[in-house]
Order: sequence, then structure tokens, then C-alpha cells
Amino acid sequence: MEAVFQILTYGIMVGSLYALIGMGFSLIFSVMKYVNIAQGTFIMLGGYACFFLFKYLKIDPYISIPAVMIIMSLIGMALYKFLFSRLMDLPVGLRLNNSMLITFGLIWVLDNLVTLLWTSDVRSVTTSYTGEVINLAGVRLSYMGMAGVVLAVVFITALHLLLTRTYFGKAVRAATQDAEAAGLSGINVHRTFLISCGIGIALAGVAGVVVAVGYYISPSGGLAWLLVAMVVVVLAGEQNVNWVFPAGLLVGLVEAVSVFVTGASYREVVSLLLFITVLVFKPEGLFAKRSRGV
Amino acid sequence: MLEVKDIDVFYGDLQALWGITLEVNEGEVVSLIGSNGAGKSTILRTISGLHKPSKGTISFNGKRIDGKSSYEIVEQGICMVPEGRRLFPEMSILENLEVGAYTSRARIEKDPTLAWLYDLFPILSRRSLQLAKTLSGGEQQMLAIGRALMSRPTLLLVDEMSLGLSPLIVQELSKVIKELNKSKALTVLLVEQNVRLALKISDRSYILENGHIVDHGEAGVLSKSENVKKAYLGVLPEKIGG
Repeated sequence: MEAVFQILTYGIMVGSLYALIGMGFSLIFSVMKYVNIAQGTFIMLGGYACFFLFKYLKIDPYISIPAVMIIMSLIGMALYKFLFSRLMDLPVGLRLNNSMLITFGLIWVLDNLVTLLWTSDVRSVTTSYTGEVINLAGVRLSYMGMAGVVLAVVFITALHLLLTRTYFGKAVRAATQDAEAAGLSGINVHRTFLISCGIGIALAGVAGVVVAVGYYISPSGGLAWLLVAMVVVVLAGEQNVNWVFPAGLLVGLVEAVSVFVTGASYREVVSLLLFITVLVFKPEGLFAKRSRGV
Repeated sequence: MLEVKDIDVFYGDLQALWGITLEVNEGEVVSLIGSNGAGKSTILRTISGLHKPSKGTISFNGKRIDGKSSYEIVEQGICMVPEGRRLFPEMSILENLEVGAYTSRARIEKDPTLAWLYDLFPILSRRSLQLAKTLSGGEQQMLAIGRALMSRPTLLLVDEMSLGLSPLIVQELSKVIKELNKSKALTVLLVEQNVRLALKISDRSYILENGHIVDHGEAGVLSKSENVKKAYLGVLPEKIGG
């Protein structure tokens, strides 16, 4: 029984991080139809920001989140301004393809830049409370894991409220559904996309903090997280930001069970099998039926 | 109020409009008529900022608006009801209308405008939480007009309002346009394939052929002209065959 709870809580903790990672990727994908292959690399950059703020300014990683988000949102807006906005006039299919190529190139540039600046060392943020757990009736819960769950819930709820309850969110959804008609309604579509891109990359920054604290960061470490983002978004279905959280939890739980059954070394294999199965049998996404456009 | 002076518009290498000059005065209903592909919609789309003229100027209330983005033109008080309605399908009626009032100028007056609109189109108020894609064609057109009115325009551009709608609904919508023009002093520039309807509801008309304006004048006069009768109204000249 304890084992079941242990698997369940592990799944939820890992799944929350996956959802957080999927969120930023899905936002940029759903809103602008850009596949940001470099999302994982931006997660690494967020992790580095957190690492250096911790190392040199002694700022607790969780306290540094707002600062990391600001830095990453500026990078995100620069990404839109200098790369993505040029693709804006292309038809959706070409936009998808070109954004993939561009961000694929960006990974190479950023990976090498990071190696050049900060060497290829594998780093992580180790605080006084790293590795501490509380024992709840035999189930061990790590502080880091719980903090990750709280962060995912907070940011995903905030994004949901932003998209559904605010005027800006309505503008984002309108521009997603018909950019030209949104412009004709008085929405500055470019600005809306610029801010959305900033938010998408800022979310990568939050995920980067969780990764730097709970896992590790390295120049080329982004690729594994990109795969996670893609698995989650494929499960949730295109244009389905609301279902990213359940999709992330599902991947986390499947992984937790597989770690228990087959051992940790096969954990990525299992989530990729899930990815392929969904693509073959339900390519529109597991939750796609309930989609309401962003 | 609106002055279009000698504009050329291209789609890539293809020229769609040649030296178009037209004006719309405050309080008028003006229509652009012509066959498919004559360039009527292109004129409206250019005024709305979706195409940039390669030559010539467009000014509104004395201010140049050519080269501006569409959202800036909406702020100036020009709003277009686009061809094919172009609603936000996955958003509710209410949300579509709210997005219509996006500019800061319109947002201040959102609530009174909304109340007034619901009065104008009661069906929108009854279904306000329904998704736009679930509406019938006529209701969608009402919503599209409503969304444009939410921006508090002084000049309303209407592109092919009657397309795909039943004659009864077209009649109702034209009545609404006429009504708005009278009671709210809303100036209207409309594009219409249904020439009979266009001439009926407008004060003046411009006739377009292959991207050129070939004739213009008061609607009443144009509808009696032999050329217009022959080309657009399907009326044969009286003494055909001698």
C-alpha cells in the first residue's frame, strides 16, 4: 500500500514539472503556431540564471523565480522580435516548418555559447534543504518535489486565469483563432504575440529553476526536456492549453509506474512509447475532443 | 470624411487596383458595386490597413491612415465587418463582442454599447454564452456587425453582407444598417454583389470594373442608367432588336 502511494506521489511530483514544461511550449505552439525546438535549451538558460543568482548573490532558488522570469521573458521577447516575427506572414504549415529549423539552429548557437561562457560542467543548485523529506505515514515526500507541485499549480492556474478572465487573454485567444479579424477588431496582434512569447519563455525559466534544484543543468541538457514537452503537448492535443496539466500528470504517473516495474533506466523509453502510441492511434491528442481553442 | 486619392494596390506582382479615387462624406451610405474580382473588397481591405497602397493616399478626417496597421485604424474610428464574418469560432458571443471593444476608447463605453447592441439584436443577448461557431449564418452576420459596432466606429465598412444569407435576413440586416445610419449618424461604406440591394440602401455608388472606377453617382440616378441596368440589374434595354 505504501508503495502505491509512493509511486503516486512520485508520479504527481514529476508530472507537475512535466506539465510546467509542456505549458510554455504549448502556449507558443497554440498561439503562434511556432514549434520552439529550443524550449528545452531555454529551460537550461533559466536554470543557469537561477544557478548564478544563487552562487553569486546567495539568492534562494525559489525566491529568484521572479528575477529568472523577468530575464527569460526579455529573452523570449527578443526571440519573437528578431526571429519569429519575420515568419508571421507565412501560411501556418510553412510557419511550423521554418520555426522548427530556426529554433533547431538556435539550440546549436545557444549550447555552444553556454559552453564557451560557462564550460560544459554539469551543475545543480544545492541548498540547505536539498534532499530533505518529510515522512507521511511511511510515504516519503521531498520538499523539492512538493515545491515543484505548488509552482506548477500556481503558474498553470495563473495562466489559465490570464487567458480566460482578462482582456489581454481574450486578445490572445482571438488572435490565435483569426489573427486578421483580431487586427480588424482593434487588437495589436504583434504586441499580443510578443507578450505571449515572453510568457512562454518565462515559463521555461520557472521550469528551469525546478530543474536546477531537483535535477541538473548542462549546456546540452535541454534536449531531454524538449522531448518531455513534446510528449505532453501531443497527449494534450494541439491548441489545448487547458489539458496540458492532466497530460503532464499522466506522463508522470506512467513514468512512476514504469520505474517501479522495470527500473529507472527504462523510464524515458516508456514515455516515448506512450508518445508513439498516441501519435499512431489518436494523433489529434488524447484530450483533443474537449478542445476549446487555447 | 474619408478620402481615397489615386491609390494603386498590388497582390504580389498582380495589380488589383488602378488609381482609385473616392470619397465618403459624413452621414452617407456609399456602396461599391461591380462583378466578382473587380476589386471592391480590396478597396475595403486597403482602407482597413490589410493591404498597403503602393501609390496614393487615404485620409480619414484629414489624417493620413494609409500605411497604418489595422488596429490603429480601428482606433481612429473605422471598423470593418469582414467578408465571411470571420468571427472567433471558439469564443462565446459575449466574448466576441468584448473583443470588438478592445481599443481603450471603446472599452470605456463597453457596457452601454453592449446594452444598446443587445437591444438591436435581442437574439445575441439570449444566446450570449453560446459559442460563435454554433450560430446560424444570419446570426453570425448579426454578431459580426455587432462586434464591429462594439468598437464605436464613426465609419463602418461592410464587406459582402448578403453573401449566403436568406433574402429575409438580408432585408432585416439592411434595415438595421439604414436605421444605424439615420439614428446614430453612422457613415457606411459597403461592398455588395447584390447590386439591386446596394443601390436601394445607399445614397451614392461607385462602379468598379477590373480594378478601375468606371462610373459613380447618386444611387437613384445610377439605377436608371442603361449601362447599369444592362450589366448589373439583368434588365434588357427597352428597344432591343429595334
